[in-house]
Amino acid sequence: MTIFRAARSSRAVRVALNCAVNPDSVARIDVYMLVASARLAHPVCLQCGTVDAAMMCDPRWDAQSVVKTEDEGNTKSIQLTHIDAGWIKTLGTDICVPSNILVNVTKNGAINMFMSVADSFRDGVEDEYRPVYQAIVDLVSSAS
Amino acid sequence: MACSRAPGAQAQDAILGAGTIYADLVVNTSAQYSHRICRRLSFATPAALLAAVAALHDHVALVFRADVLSVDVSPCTPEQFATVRASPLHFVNVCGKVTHCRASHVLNPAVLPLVVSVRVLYSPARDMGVYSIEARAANDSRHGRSTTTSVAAAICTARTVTSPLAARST
Repeated sequence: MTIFRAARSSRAVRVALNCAVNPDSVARIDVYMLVASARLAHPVCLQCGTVDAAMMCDPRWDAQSVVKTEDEGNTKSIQLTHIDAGWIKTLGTDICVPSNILVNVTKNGAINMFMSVADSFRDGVEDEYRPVYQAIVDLVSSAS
Repeated sequence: MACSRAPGAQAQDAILGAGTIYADLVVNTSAQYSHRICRRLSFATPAALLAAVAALHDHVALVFRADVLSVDVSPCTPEQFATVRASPLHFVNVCGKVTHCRASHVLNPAVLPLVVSVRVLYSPARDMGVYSIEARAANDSRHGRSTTTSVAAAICTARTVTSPLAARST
């Protein structure tokens, strides 16, 4: 098994694999995590609970605040689980339902999202999940 | 509860400079979980600043369904302003794994000259050799500098799948 990480796109993964791996040895390629980032045009008050409340009230997932450690004082963490499969289907693409998404929001307005998913690798796979990420960004933006 | 302070009242006192105005706007509300809403914005004129404060006042009251107690405005420097700049959604990491079938080797022999280090961890209990391989990517050069990319290869059942690197790494 060969693990790949730190590529910014499926195209970069494909280029690296074509370069490094013997194609005759490849049985299958899977994706297990997609990490995306965005930055709002405004800071987020971490003491404010509107982002948490908006996430928790949204019917598309179950949201839970993650307890922070001392060195994570500039970050608000929210874990999304039980993503609504019906909502995923409405996004129009044949993507798998993510098992969970960790959303980190910093006071400077940066949003880092870590999505755990079990899907097969294909070109442009990350773009198929873009609507999921965009929905989260829009929600955080409107609630902060 | 009605707004107890006219929106922009503090703004008029805080910032009335010439040129571009950089300001932090903080909306204090009566709602339990939305007592502070932050915005860091730039304005061409003081009038634009006052208009933005009024608009933010109405926006927060509408969207957050909260009574606005006050809108605080404080100046910020261009350097502080630059730390909050919107950027669109982009991907920073695509993680996955390649499951190998039985083959004479899993790594492309052509990449071997690019390998700069190999670390081998062998687990006798699981009869598994784990190869951590760092290779310089031939097509990954930015700004004239060569960068390295890591390829972590775990070769299951070392007896049946043999990497040509094994001979070099031992």
